Amino acid sequence: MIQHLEQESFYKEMVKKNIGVYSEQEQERLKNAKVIIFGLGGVGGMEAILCARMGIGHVTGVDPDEFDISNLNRQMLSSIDGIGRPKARMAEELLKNINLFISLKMVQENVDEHNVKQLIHGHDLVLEAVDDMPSRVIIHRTAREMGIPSVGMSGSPPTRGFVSSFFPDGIPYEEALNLPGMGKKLTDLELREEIAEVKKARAWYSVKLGAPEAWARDFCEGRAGWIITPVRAHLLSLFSFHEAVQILTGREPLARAPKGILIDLDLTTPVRVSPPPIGGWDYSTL
Amino acid sequence: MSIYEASFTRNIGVITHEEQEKLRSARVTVVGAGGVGGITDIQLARMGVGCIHVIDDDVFEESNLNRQMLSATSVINHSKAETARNVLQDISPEMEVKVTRVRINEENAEDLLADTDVIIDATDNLVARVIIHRTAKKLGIPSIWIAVTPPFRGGVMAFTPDSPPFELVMSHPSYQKELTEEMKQQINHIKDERAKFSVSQGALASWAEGYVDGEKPWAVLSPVANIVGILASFEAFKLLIQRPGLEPAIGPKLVRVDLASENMVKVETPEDGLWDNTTL
Repeated sequence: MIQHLEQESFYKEMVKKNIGVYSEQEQERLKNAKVIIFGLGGVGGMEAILCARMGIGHVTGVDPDEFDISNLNRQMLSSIDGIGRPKARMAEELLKNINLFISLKMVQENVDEHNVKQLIHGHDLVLEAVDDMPSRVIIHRTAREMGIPSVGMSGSPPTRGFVSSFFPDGIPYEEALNLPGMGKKLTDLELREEIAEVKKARAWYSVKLGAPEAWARDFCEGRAGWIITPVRAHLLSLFSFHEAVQILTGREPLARAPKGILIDLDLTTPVRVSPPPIGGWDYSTL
Repeated sequence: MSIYEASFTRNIGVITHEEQEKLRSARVTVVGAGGVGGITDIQLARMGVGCIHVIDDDVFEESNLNRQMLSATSVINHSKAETARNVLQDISPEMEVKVTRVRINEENAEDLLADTDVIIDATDNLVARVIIHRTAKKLGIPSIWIAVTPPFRGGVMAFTPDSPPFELVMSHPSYQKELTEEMKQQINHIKDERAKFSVSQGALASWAEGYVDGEKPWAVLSPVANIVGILASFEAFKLLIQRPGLEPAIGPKLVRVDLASENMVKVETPEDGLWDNTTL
């Protein structure tokens, strides 16, 4: 009983400043919500922290990797102390230290066709924050099949990004983004390769907007990582997370697919909600 | 490869080696290590800024947890500034972190804010803001202003020695006047007007009434505070690297945030060059 009272008063104090923007009833919905985040890196790590701070009751995180020194420039769960440790384990420690009573399930696994259903089962919303294109397709496609909304994102150099919210009764992910292989299982290696190629096209499009050509070449040949600064990674997290909160509280998200939130810090409207161009989004430009 | 170089490999390409070196030798002062200041500090560390001065006299409490990136249950009642030092040095061990646990006022402002390249005002007190931007101007150092306002609004604007002054741009009653007790009250009153105005933008009316009566705290939502903090660090970054074509938003040019609007972040300049702070 004492433990229970403590839990109630801690929670109330933690989310006190949300009230006024969101109502007590909306906060209660967040408290009862179960969210799964795929990827605990630059975008997903910050999303996990934001979920815990906002008072979301349960968070599942999925990431196969350990922290590396090159993660430090943008990954909010990373620190010198955490280098070499699994991202899932660090997430568990750090989130518990924000909300003592949060329910967590941190899984050190790679998401793929064989485990995606089992992972998504039982959640109210999916936040997708992985960096490879085939996994993105698998995650959003499965969420839709299971009747669960999913928020997706994409980020490119120099400081560009895209966020959109997908619903079971709305346009499918691959259709909104004009990706190949609608309806086909991604166990087909050729199809997988074709979808993965989109990321190379994105690298070359980034060169037109100011990214170095030498980087794009190195990226396409597997010699360099995707370049990303903390500003872009965390803006993607924050706008994705805001969509998630709007959905979970029962409000309308800003970018119900096919609409998207477009980020480009080089423009005079650095972040805006936009309908897709005629014919849908061209993923190589996102 | 040094720890510094290994940590910031993924920045290179978005920024050049020369720009990374500029950040490495840059000094930034951040006043306030709360909802906006905390994420700003972290961003600066993760970009590879060499030296930071964190000024905050406050300690963490539970109601900070919803949005303040330096806060955690293990540091409740601990100094925000000292916590910033621990967190930042665990991100970037080479970063020189100076910490001062005081509240800024007219007497100490010049000493506190001297010898830095950019000042970020991440306080929540309107009088402190006037003091910070006045002093920055006097010292010839650029200063960045921020706002976080219910329900989903915020703003970021930079001031430089050459720009019109903060109080003029904000139509403040204190412009070119002494900060008497009466004037301080007038400045603080602007925040009540901001609360009332925010109801027209969708904030709960019961909250605004409670705030004006002193019964409720300023409502601050995590996404807005953190977006504003990130954009403030980006303005600092632009002021530090001075890349041609990547211009900072210098007042009255304002980076305006409204997560409830289709144009969620846009850069705006008022026609007459003046903003009404009660509407921001």
